[in-house]
Amino acid sequence: MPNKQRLVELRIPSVFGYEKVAMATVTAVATRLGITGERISDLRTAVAEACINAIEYGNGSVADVPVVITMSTDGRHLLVDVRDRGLGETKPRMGKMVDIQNPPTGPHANMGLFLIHALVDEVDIVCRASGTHVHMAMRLPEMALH
Amino acid sequence: MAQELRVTVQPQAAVTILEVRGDVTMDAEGELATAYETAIAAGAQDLILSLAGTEYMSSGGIAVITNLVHAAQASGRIMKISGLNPHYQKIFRMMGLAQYCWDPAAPGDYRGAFANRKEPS
Repeated sequence: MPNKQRLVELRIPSVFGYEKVAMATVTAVATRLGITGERISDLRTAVAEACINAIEYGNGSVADVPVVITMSTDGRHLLVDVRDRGLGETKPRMGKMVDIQNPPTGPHANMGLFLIHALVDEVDIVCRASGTHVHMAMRLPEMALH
Repeated sequence: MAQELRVTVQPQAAVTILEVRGDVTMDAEGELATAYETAIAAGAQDLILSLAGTEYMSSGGIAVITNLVHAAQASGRIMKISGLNPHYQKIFRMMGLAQYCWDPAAPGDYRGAFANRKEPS
């Protein structure tokens, strides 16, 4: 596996709305690496959903417990890791498509994980007592690899 | 941080438009429910939820919208979602919600979008 180069580490408070800081940062990093258009929109949404889950479920919305977002590259992918401290639920459940006759209940209805899996190229979720790590990878465009 | 949400109720000749401006997250529930109830109290039948003024929507916001569409359907009304940008159009397709969306650029006018009304269950 190629060496991983860490590019940016971001800490946001566990307060809804701060996921937009992560979205803005990942947009800047992805653009630098040659990712464009709809692929950036997909990554932004996936990162936002991972942060929202970390804020609410992982850190129990305790404002001064940070969500840590790390962006790095292995030369072929932009890798984004979102980590929480595991204060809340540590076994995320996978959501599904919406059945309008049985609409989702609860604030997020687990749809966030469904979207994350659908929008990025690779997802790996590691649940430990110390917290949940969501690893997301987005392939870099061919031209950016040369 | 979040873009403040505003929902304007615009009764038109045959349809009531709920025009949304700002972020749609789970915090949108109260504002959207109030706008919906205002529209219903004013006699609204067919509704369009216009999201052209929304740049950011979370899965929690999509859940709120889904509940609103379900509430309209359960009362014998039809609510269509319009104004989604291409990214959220894709998200709604992924979530199985495409049939609840209406594209103003599609052939015909909005009347076709409300053709399949069901009686309240």
